[in-house]
Amino acid sequence: MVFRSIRWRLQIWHTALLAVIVTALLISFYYNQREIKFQTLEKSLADQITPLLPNLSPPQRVRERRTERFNEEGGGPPPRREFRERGPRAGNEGRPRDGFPPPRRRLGETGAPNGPPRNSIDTDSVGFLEKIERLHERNFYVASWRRNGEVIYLSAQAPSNIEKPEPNRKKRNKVTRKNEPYLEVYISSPHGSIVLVGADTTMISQEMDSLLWKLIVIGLSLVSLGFCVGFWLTSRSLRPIVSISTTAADIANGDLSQRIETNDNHSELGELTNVLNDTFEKLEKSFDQQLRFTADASHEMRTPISVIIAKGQFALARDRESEDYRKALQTCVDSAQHMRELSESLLELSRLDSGDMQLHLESNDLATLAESATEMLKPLAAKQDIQITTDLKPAPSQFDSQRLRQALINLISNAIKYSDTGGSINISTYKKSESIVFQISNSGEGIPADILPHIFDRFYRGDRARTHQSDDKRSTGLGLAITKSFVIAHKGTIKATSQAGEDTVFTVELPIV
Amino acid sequence: MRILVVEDQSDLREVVIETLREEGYATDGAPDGEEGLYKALNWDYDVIILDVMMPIMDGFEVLTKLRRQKNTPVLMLTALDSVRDKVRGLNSGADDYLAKPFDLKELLARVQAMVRRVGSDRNPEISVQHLTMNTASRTVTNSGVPVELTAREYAMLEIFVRHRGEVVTRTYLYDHLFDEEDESMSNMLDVYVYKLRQKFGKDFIKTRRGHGYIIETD
Repeated sequence: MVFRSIRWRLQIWHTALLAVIVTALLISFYYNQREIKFQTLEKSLADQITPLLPNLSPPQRVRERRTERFNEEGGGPPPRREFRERGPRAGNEGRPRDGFPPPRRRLGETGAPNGPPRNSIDTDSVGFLEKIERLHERNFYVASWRRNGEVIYLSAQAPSNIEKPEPNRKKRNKVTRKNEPYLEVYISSPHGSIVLVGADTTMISQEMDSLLWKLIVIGLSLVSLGFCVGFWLTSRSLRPIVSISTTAADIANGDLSQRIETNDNHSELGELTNVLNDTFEKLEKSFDQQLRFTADASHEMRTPISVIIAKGQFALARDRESEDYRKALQTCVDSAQHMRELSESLLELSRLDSGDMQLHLESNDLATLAESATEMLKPLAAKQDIQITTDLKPAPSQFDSQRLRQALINLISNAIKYSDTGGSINISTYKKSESIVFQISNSGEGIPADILPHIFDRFYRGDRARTHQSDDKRSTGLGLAITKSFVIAHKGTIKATSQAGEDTVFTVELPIV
Repeated sequence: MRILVVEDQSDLREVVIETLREEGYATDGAPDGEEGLYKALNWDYDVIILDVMMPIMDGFEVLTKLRRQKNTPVLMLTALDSVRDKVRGLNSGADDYLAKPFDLKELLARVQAMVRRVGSDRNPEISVQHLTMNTASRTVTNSGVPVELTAREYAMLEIFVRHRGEVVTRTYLYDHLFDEEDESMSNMLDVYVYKLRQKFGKDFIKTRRGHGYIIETD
């Protein structure tokens, strides 16, 4: 589950990356340091024995001194080695032989307590080697061979498994002697004589170990620090997302009035927050509207239901004349009809709300529709002595004839209802370039400005003070709301203009399909 | 008992008025809040049945204005049964609340309960002298023997019994026995008094000349 969280994924990846980088850096540092140390040692070793190089060429006699040492080592005295004859030595003329500078003579220097005949080169070398040896720690040894393998010198602390380096051996070698690590450096003369010096690298190892531990600690600290800083940073950046989730959860539990707080309007998260808040706003409004509609609808239903129950109970309360029963039953049936109309209207409206309204489009002419609707309602108008005049120009298009007919009937009968006696109604249809228009105007009291914005509202019964007519139970309050919904379903518009005391005009405009 | 029914739905209003009249209540009606308030302020009703959703002036407004001047018991009727509206109604001074659609029997029972509450007679059974009246079942017994009464006779008797020990004026009787549609003359009162005296005894209802009638308590 951790791997699903963006924050944790970010953290893990970044910390891993950091760890890899830090580790790589530290490792290279470590090896670099090691290399440096070894090179320093190597250089110092090499520096010490390099001066000897010119002295290596001539064959030398092995000194007795070394015998003791060999005995210490546990081996027997070395086999006698052949002295190799070498060519005449280079003279003091300075003419180099074998590429070597003229040998230097060291006067006054001798390292031979035993007193063998002083052989300048050997003695010098050996003396030199002994001097070097003395200058160093215990774990430092020197060795020297001739080309043929004859040992010239071997220091006391040299390991037993020391060996003359093969020609192709690297100039510097880490070897293990006496179960300890050493670094051996050797130089060789063109004749093949070799001087080798070895030094204990234990200390280097120790230093490197301690360095390793330090580096590990540093590395871990860096990664931890990186992790913590990263954690803090991602927390800060992602906090809005957490707050968004929490609020969204609250809203899902029903409190649609909540909004997400934010001062940030510019970052990506800020924009997201704003979009979400807008969405919640719309949702809240929509839900409120639904609730109100449902409440209004059930309220409307209760009225005819109360009448049926009351009338029925009254009729049954005692023995009555059949005329009383008849009247009671008629009232019940009327109320039931009213409820049926109501539920049909509600169904249409809910179809529109949910976008479920399927229009049955067919080619027709608005003028034809208006004509037939008017004919149907003429008798009703006549009852109130209302004159209907028509001006029906062709207005063809594709539309849902049945529904639009219902809409027109609603508008015309409203006009008749709200017209004054002896008044007049004018109906016209015509075609514009992109739309067809139906217009109806009626003389009468007009619609006051405070009522006008609400006339298309659901369940709004125009002038409540006026409905003392017995047909108030017939009016569902949904006629105009449904008419409007039909018009909207055709992507059209409906407008009403009126003023108190003036004519009222309704205009329906539909785009031509 | 005289009752006022304020309800804009004419069918419903007519049914309630008829039902109450059949039960012996003198009942008036009003189709909107304005007329309802006018009548309520100008006559002494025993109970007012008041609808909430009405044109011109809604039930809450009528109630508030009425309460400034009168303590008439009010039963509110409404199709809105949300708690908010019930609370609002009761807090505005209604005595009871009934949601539509309602049972006529329940309406009657609540009306009677309200009438009981106003008087000091919480007990539906009232006894005075040799008569026992049960206001819930609207029956009367004379020394244990049930007595048949017409609705009007019962109504008048109930007024006397509830006001036992007090003088009841003819005007009061008239106002509380006949509603506005009743064209009876006031001498109808004498007819009903006579009939009651026939059933319960001449001295049961005494006349106080110039004042009215009285049933004396023992």
